[in-house]
Amino acid sequence: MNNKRNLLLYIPALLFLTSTFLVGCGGAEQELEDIPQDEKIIDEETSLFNVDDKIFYIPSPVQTSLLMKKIAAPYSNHLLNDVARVESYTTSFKQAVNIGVYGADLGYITANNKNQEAISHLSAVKKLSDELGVSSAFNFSELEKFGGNAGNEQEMLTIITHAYKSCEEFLRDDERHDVAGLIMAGALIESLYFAVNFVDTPDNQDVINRIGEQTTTLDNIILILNRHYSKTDNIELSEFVDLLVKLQSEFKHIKIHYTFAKSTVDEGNKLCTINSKSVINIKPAMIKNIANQIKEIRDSITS
Amino acid sequence: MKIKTVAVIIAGGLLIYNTGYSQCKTNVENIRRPFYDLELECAKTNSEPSFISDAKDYRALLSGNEGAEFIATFFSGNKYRICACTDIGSPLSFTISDHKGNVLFTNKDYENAPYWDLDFPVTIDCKISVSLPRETAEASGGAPAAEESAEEETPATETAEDEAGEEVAEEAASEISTKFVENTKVCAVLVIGYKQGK
Repeated sequence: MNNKRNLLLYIPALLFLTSTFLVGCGGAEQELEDIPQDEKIIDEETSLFNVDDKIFYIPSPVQTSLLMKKIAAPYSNHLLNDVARVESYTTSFKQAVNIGVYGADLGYITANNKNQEAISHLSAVKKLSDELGVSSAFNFSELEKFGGNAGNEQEMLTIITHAYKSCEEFLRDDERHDVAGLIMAGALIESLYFAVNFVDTPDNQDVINRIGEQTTTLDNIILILNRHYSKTDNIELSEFVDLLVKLQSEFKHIKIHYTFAKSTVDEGNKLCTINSKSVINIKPAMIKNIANQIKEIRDSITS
Repeated sequence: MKIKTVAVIIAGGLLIYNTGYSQCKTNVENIRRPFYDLELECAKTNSEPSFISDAKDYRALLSGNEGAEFIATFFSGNKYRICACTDIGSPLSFTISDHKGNVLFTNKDYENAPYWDLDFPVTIDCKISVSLPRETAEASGGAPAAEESAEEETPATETAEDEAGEEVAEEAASEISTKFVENTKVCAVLVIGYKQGK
């Protein structure tokens, strides 16, 4: 009996190691499909990016915010979450989700070469990560290079990217998928918040496209957080998921028409240009609803 | 058969566990290194500082004609550099397909070039498949080249339809995996960076 129990405890570890190394983040070894159902269930719980046999790609906070750089222009620091609020984030939910929010802010600030402003946001991330017990994963000694790299946008973006990646790996190894999911959700909402503030500008198709392109990321984050949904044990997370699901229902009205076309390859420059087309259609009333809901969610997590 | 497949995967997991994350080869006999080292080397050799890492791991242990698949979203307005490396210094094949299965690019058409840039004017959810070219499989001491070419010549639709044949092939692949798991698995990595277009 004990041996059987030990084996059951051991299998998740093995499958986790297997999924981490054979599959990698976002990778899939086809043979995993053959695993008997009872073992498959265990596997689902071991990897952040593998839920219900679906494998997810969720962009990093820096990448998400960089996507918004062009459309969220000119740079507006009033869009950022005030670092003074950091003291009020006392629950692990608020701490996790705002690590993501400040991460997106850091990407936006850095991409706009406002490096001195980045320092205060970095301090906010450090404080939250200390309180959440993930500061060791962030490798703040690396982040302290920020001062020395002020002005070197690429270097700074790389440092932030690696810091968030280390944190994500740490949480995945520690099976704290809810915390990792909340960080990614915070980054997504903050990045969408940048975008919706520019949705009323003339010629806003680029803004609309950027918002519409986040549909898959939103779906994936909801699937990850849903596993931790409990109105009795995890109230804040559950209420947040409710808001995300409501937003998701608005996103479902977005129509994306994709048409494949053969790519063009410039062999001399080792460059392939994708010629496939994708048209995103959102009715003006829908984009208003989406914008309002994003603002509502953003207010709820940062207040 | 299915149980055997699971056993092979778990054996891989045990091996990885026992080697403490360091399962990729180096130039020094009996000295191993972690995937991360290989990714770093791959990026240094093939990428440029202007590309920012997408912060995802694309790692696989392969031998013979095994392959692995990853998923990634490529966002509009970005130029991506995809670098592909193995721990034995031999090339790695990669193919990028859209969510409908249409091939957008494959380095197989360009002598398995170690990197390629891709310009995405639209956002597309993609599948990235990696496999060992014949020379890499041979260099690793993996499956005989004849087996690899036999699989390449078999159309995917036929393979899917022929259940019995597939089982036999999987059984054979499992045997090969079991046989070579310790000595001939190749560490295969992709390193993907992006930068914003003008």
